[in-house]
Amino acid sequence: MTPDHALSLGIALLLVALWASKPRSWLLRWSALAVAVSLSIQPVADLLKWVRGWWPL
Amino acid sequence: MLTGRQAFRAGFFLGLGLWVGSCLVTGCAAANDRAGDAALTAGGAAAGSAIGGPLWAGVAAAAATMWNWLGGTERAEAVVPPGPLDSILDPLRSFAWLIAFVLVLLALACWRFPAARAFLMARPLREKMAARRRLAASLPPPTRRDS
Repeated sequence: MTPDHALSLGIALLLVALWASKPRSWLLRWSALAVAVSLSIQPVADLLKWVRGWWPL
Repeated sequence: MLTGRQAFRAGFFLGLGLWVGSCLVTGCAAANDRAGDAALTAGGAAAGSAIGGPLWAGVAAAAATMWNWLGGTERAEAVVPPGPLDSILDPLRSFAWLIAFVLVLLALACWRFPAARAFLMARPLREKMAARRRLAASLPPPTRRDS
């Protein structure tokens, strides 16, 4: 995970907070979640690969 | 207790403050690294607060701080061998971004154009029927003359 990925993951977590705040507009709510998922795919995949290399199952 | 919206705002400004503060302390050369650390702490605290409340905000912020303190991002960067996940990662990411862009464009259209808002935010028929039933229930019962 690079610092860029950490930034993406942090912004994704902020967007998850926006999603959890249940804004009045359902489009705002679900677009926040969609952007959060898109931002977190690469960092989460890297983290999973790292965990797998560190602790082989 | 913070509401979700307050948690989002607090997390945003906490991240900004952490980033600026750590850049001032460590020097601007490492601004990119510090931005990742600050975003992880603030995002974790905001998401934890919005989903689980103050206890989870504290747990998430402490976990993110420990991760940063132990240099987790640099450690996780060290060895990432290519795996079977890589083949599905690119199409998955493209698909997720496509959905996200469509939703963001629709949200922007609803925000700026009333016609799009009226079309997309039209209440379903069952909601209208329920509102009509509630209105009918709130009216006095019909008299013999009415019926």
